[in-house]
Amino acid sequence: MQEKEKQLIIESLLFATPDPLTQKQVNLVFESDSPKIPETVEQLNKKYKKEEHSFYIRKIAGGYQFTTKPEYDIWIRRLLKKSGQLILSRASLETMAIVAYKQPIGRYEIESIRGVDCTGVLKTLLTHNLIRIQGRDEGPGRPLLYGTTKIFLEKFGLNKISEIPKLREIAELSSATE
Amino acid sequence: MYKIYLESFEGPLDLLLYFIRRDKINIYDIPIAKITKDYVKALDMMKELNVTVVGEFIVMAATLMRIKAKMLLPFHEDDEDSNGEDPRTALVQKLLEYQQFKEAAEHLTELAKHQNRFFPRMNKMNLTEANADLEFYLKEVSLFEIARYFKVAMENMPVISSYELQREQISLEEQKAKILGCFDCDGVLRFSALMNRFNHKLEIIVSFLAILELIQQGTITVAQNEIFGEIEFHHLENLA
Repeated sequence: MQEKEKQLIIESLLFATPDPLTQKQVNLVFESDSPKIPETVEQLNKKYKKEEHSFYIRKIAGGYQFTTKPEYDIWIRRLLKKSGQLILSRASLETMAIVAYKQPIGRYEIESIRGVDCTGVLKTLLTHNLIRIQGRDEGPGRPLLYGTTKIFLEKFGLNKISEIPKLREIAELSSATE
Repeated sequence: MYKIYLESFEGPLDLLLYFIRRDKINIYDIPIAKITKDYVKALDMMKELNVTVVGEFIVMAATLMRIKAKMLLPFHEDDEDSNGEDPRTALVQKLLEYQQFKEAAEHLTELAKHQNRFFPRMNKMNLTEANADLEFYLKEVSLFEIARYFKVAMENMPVISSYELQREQISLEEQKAKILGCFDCDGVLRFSALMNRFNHKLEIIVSFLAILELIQQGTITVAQNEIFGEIEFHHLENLA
């Protein structure tokens, strides 16, 4: 199989996939002698850049997907009738942040940090598939432990959880702006 | 006189952080008497505004007063309760930790906002726009659910004695048109709102048949937010 053809097959996979395409998936599709996505994506993106397209292939949540360039968001938003406002409340975002940084973490610990009851907020995050139950703590009562999901990475534009900015870095940023 | 919007506080720690930022207080040296006063005043205001003061806020008020009392007492080296620590230390640590995650939450918001400017080809749910996206979180409603609501509607119907009831012939087509006329401009109609309009059995029965037929024709869809929650009809033409 020619390199060119492989490149086009990868392009078609990226075009059709509902979730970010991973190397693992590509390996299954090709069975043997499968191309490496990072290199193929680089070549494709080079091509799109040369041809001046409004989209490109982006790495996210451990995979690759076609996405529009951010400068076209106002037009797309008009089409999809989206205002661009977050649907998560401050309570949800705070809880989300605590889970993201301290996972696996139980409800009690989250509540002791926020100083308020978090049952409802955790439920919201669970239904949005932003967090999931990772298991149970060994401690008394064996409470449920929560962690982040792939959807979380996708929605917050992260490739993997370790890409999340360090708390110390955020603190430095906030104190610099104050 | 300061105006405080209490609803915007996520909890007692958030409220304390607000005072600290407002008065430019050094978090490691909190004037506990003053902050306790401000805090209790805020709680009183909550009560005045008829906001239910949740337990957590009251617990914090007690904690503040306890710290205040401890600081007034002469310091004892052999005090086993405090181990010679500043009584404020535990609170300060809590505040710092909470502040850290509050900032992290703000940062996550920025990340999500940035991410929302990219539209993937297979656009699934997005974290923006509650209304447009709500449908993603609505699950398909089974006929069983509709039937259950139908039963509830029948049971809630006001009882009218038989001789008062003048039976009218209602046609299915008429009722379908009537239901379609009930949709609001967004193409949404709540099941309970619809059922409240009808006052006798035959009308409810015909409406029910009309709804089933409208679903079958693909004119409307049915969705429900949660188990036993409100059922909503969506007019498909209006959604386009």
